[in-house]
Amino acid sequence: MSWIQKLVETYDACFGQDRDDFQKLLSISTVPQTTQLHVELHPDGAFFHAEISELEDTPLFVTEDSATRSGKDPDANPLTEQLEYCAKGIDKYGGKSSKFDRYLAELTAWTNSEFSTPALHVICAYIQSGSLLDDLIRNRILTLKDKEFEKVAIGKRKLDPLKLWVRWSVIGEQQSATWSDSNLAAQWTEFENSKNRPLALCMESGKIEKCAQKHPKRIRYSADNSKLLSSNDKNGFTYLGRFMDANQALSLGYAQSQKAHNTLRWLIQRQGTRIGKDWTLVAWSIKSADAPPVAVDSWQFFRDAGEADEEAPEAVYEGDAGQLFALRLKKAIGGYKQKFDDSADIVVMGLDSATPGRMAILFYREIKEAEFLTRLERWHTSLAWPQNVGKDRRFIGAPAPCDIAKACYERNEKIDEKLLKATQERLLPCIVDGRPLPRDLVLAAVASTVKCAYRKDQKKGYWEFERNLGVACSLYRGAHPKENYSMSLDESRTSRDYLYGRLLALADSIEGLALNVAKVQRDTTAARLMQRFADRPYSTWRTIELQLTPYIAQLRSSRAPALQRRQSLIDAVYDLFETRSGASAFVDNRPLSGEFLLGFHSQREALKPRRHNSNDAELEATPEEGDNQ
Amino acid sequence: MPDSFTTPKNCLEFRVWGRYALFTDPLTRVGGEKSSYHLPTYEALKGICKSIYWKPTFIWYVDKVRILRRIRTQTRGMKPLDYISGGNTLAIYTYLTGDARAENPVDITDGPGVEYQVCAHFEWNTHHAALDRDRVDGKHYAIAKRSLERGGRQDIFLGTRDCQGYVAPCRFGEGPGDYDNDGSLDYGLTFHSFDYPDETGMGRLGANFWRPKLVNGVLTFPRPDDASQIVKKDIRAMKPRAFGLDRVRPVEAEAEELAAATGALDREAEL
Repeated sequence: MSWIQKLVETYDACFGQDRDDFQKLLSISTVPQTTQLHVELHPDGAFFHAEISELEDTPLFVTEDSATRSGKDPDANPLTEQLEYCAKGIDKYGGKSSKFDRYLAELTAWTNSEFSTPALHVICAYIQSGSLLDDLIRNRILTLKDKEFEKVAIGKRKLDPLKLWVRWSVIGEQQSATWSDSNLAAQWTEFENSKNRPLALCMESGKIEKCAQKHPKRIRYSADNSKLLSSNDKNGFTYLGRFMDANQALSLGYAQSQKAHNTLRWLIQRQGTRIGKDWTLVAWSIKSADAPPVAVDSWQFFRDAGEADEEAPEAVYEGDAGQLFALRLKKAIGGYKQKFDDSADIVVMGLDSATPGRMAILFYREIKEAEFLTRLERWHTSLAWPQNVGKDRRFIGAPAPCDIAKACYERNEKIDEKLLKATQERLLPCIVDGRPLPRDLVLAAVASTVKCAYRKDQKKGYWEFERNLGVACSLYRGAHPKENYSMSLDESRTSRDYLYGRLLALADSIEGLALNVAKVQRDTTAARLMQRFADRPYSTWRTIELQLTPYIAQLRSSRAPALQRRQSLIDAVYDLFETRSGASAFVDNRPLSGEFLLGFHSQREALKPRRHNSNDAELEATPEEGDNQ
Repeated sequence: MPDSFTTPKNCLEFRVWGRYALFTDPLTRVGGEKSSYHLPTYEALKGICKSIYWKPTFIWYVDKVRILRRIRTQTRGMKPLDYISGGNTLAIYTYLTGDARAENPVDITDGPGVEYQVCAHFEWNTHHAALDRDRVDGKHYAIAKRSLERGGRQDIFLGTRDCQGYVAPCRFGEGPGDYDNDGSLDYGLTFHSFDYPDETGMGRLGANFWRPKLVNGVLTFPRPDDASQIVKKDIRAMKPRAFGLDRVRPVEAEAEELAAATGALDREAEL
């Protein structure tokens, strides 16, 4: 449980590196803020130019108090601030002059210290002169209407001018924009470090350091008011008893706290997964911040591993589908292995809030890189199955935890957010720790698949059934690794459930073909009776078989070869039943386990036309379920 | 077999197990969203020893602990009391648990949970001069052993009070453990124990921290006064509790009473 230490280590390894978005890892006492108003000054202190231009993630220098400000008398940031704080005389237009006083105090304190730069003096003088508002009005950045400012339009939004964030530039300097000036940032860090803070043992480094009194918030998203470490609960008995105040219970160095929180904020923004507002999962490598994605399906996994789009093969069922998938997975894992060295640590961390204002660490693992990749590989391999999650998402691989949750628990296309979060959370130890799949999820997926085979709404129902089928087969396969189910049709498997699944697929195919030939849109008997079939296979099969007679007659005249193929397959399945244990397995009317879905899916895929064998007249085009739309 | 040269003669070896444990990380505790350390703290194990048998005459020192089950964590939503406005507030606690010992567990011993083997000994608390006469070699140890056989004198809990545990005598090192061949694992700065004034003799409360190193599943604790491994944090002034023989039952009386009570039980069990 040394997450603060790991975050500080990640900060030390990644800060200042020259990679793409590593500049967004901000230094101590700096947070990202979207600013809207850009004011440029002459080096001699005169106003030069102003414009409304929005810049996201502008580094904002904050003090310990201003980062967590709230209430009626908030603390001010020293440099980049809202217009209400920067403008002298704002009380004429509805602002609070106390805010300006605080801002000026902070800015002059910094300017008069030993850590100031010439640009600061220019800006400070300009602020003191108080001509900001007049200059803005003169340049028509702000317009007056009845002694009050009109709202300023940015894009499609209209913002209150007093709440606009101002960033400063001084032209003529080597680096005119104050927010990109790394020298200024370094000076600010030094200035903050020089401030007096109580000395105490830092519980992360083990040394006596200046300790933080308040810890940052706004970690997961910019409006996030939750704190990971909070210490002002004097009345709530969270530490009272042996300890009299919060510093006795928790003392963390200021630099350590800032580094850890900044790193976490940056990592979450860069590569975090979020459900809803609060639940967040982030995985990172301590040395290089990158990590393979955890809670994604195989399709996304391959893409993140850098597989080019042209390389992704068509989602056509091939005899060696399993082998192809294994090759792709190996390549992706190999790609990640190259990026890291074996001794690197990967940290996986999950956060959530029960109440606004506080965050809890739900899940925390430190794993060695090699071990982590092995577990991810195991997850993707054991759950691999042809998936059909949407129009452009047909792939062979493991489903995403979010899709697993939806397949198990979605009703009327909606799933309760708490249930979605809880299910994803339950699957994390299966992915990261290698634990066995929860049995109730497997059963729930099978049950919901069987239930939606009969599609009242043809369009929506189709995708729902396909997705659920893929997920249920994946889960069942993953939950029974010893059985070693193959992704393609296994014609030698003689287990009762698998064979019954095959029979159902064959009946469904015959009737589907006949309906297609007759151009009738209807669910097949097999689809309608799937739930009953799962509960009482033998008696339901009799019903289905009887219903097939007219369709067989119909097909004998129009699609004889296709019919012949299917009927011979049915005979083959009957034979396999015989070889297993005589007739008793077939006659057994006990409910089927999820294995029958594996048989169903494999057989159905095997009956689909193989596109590169289009010359073969025997392989008549079987209508895909989609043709019944 | 314990090495008879380096192991103290009054070493108590026991097995402690439970469904959940919560060795609270002080960083998260103050905010109210408690999450557990992955390893037991010295203070928690010392507390278990004290629950088995304790007198102010001596101080327990935990020597080492062996982790038997693979570490897992489990989060639970809790509704702790809100002392300010009444009612409940919401929090998420992360408990420590472990792998089950068997596929289909029959009783709590086999189900998922934590399990440790602990080796601890005690030494006289020299700061209680008034209890000088109570320091009888052997009697305290005998009582401790008998209490352990009966599952401890007071409730055993693993970290927080809601994580109920059980103790039984065992031999340290026997049986397989999930970490036996895992080599060495380093952890960051972790809470070790508190320094209470009646055990240190100084009128201050302090906290100790150390950097654990798990070697093949065994964690060897340094003594709280071992300056090479322990980082100390001074907390506040505290008055030590004064014990005298007027407040503490002498050990001879304790042993007699225990013999009488347990002897009767033993005779009953034989019948």
